[in-house]
Amino acid sequence: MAYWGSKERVAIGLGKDRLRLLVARGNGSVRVAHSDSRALPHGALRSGLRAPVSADRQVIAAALNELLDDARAAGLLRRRPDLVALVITDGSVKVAAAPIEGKIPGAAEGSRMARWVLRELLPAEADTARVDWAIMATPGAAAAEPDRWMLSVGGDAELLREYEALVDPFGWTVGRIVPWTLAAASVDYGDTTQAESDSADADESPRRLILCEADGTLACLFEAGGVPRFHRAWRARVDGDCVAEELPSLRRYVNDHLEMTIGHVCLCGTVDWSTAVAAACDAVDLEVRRVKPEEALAGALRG
Amino acid sequence: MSRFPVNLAAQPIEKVRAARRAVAYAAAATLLVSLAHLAFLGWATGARGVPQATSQASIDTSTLAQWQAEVDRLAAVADVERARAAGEAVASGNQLIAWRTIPWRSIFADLEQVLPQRARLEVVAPGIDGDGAVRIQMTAAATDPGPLQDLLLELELHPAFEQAWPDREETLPDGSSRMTLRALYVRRGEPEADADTGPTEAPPPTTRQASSGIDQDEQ
Repeated sequence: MAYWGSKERVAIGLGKDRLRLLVARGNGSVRVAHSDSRALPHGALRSGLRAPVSADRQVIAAALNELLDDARAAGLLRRRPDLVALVITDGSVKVAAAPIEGKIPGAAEGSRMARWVLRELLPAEADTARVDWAIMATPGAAAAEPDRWMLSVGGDAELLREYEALVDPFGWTVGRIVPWTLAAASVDYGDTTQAESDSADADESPRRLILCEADGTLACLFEAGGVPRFHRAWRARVDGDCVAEELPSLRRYVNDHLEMTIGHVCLCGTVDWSTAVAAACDAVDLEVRRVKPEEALAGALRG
Repeated sequence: MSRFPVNLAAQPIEKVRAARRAVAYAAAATLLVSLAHLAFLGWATGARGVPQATSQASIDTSTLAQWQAEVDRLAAVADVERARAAGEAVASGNQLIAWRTIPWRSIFADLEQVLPQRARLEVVAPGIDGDGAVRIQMTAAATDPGPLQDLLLELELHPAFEQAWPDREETLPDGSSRMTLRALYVRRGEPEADADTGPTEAPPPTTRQASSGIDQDEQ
């Protein structure tokens, strides 16, 4: 039974072949109360920048119903949740970070700037895209790096409405939509690794590459100084061998274009996939940390 | 707060919470203002030296006198109007009573006796003057002035009419004559019969009628 200060929050993780549900409690801090998942038939949910994303809504709705019934059987979700978060595939959105100088833009100007940043990444027209942005400061950045970045995220509005419509039958309203990589990046990993401490300056923030396979496809996010600097999503399934092939090019891209080095790699995915990719990372001397998909869902419920 | 405060939901939870917070702040502020207002009212009404809201109002006696004079004047005007209306009602009642006391039946019976055969009455307008006398204004017409003169003569001779007087005589374009005349009608001893609207009793049979009846019985 929910009580004051312990409101229920629901995170629904949508993947190409799996639907995940996480019910948490807390008002600020998140305590996982229930998590479960259901496999989806192949092709029920597609990853792409254009709608539709669901080939068979009935199958997805039935799987979600089963997950919610199990949660209710466990004594949860007796009331309307305080927050419903959807964690969607990275292939459905675009993420970009641009340095910003001068004063912080207002709402309207910031929206225009974010649309301009994403104008060539999104296939949708500017007025049909749904965009959000945030100014992120990097107080510990090096002198040559800018200290403020504009993080822009956008997607096709029709596609996002289709995602939100999945919870319409329950009378819920989606309060948060984020891609899997940003949800996984919200997980608190603790202190930097020993390698990072040895190689980086004392005031330099951790630089990590997040590889996420929770939605059935591969997505990566390189984060430096608390700011996502590089994001990419693959549409096809990428197993451990393929990741081993992709890692050198990713490392080279970070070195050449961002002029940085990867401090460690965070893996968010199934156990088998994580094990295979961890072996590939060990081969190139990259330290690995693992994040469960449930932890990423809980990260989406923070705040 | 999430590490990356970006959200693609149509109704972001941050904005919903901000709106809820604003509503809560507004409600709290309204409540505080209301409580402060109530407290101030309580302090103001309970403080010493502050005149009560129900304190007596002082009215000048001269003003009261003026008001009373105005009330009296209006009452007098109302009484005059009321008396005038009552007088008019009484006059109307008297007129109705007078009309009812005109002996219509006797008048027409006597006029029938005095009216010549070739004359006709067009207007018979009896009225009661101030001393209670019944005066009749009549308009009679005939094909020539002779019957009208006869009518005037008969009126003078009849005991029920006095002071028969012609007001106007005229000759109409078709050669007939018309006379407007007045006469004073003298009441005879049957006002109750005239006043009674019910059916009158049959006159008692004469001796001749009674004898003929006996004859019939004998026959």
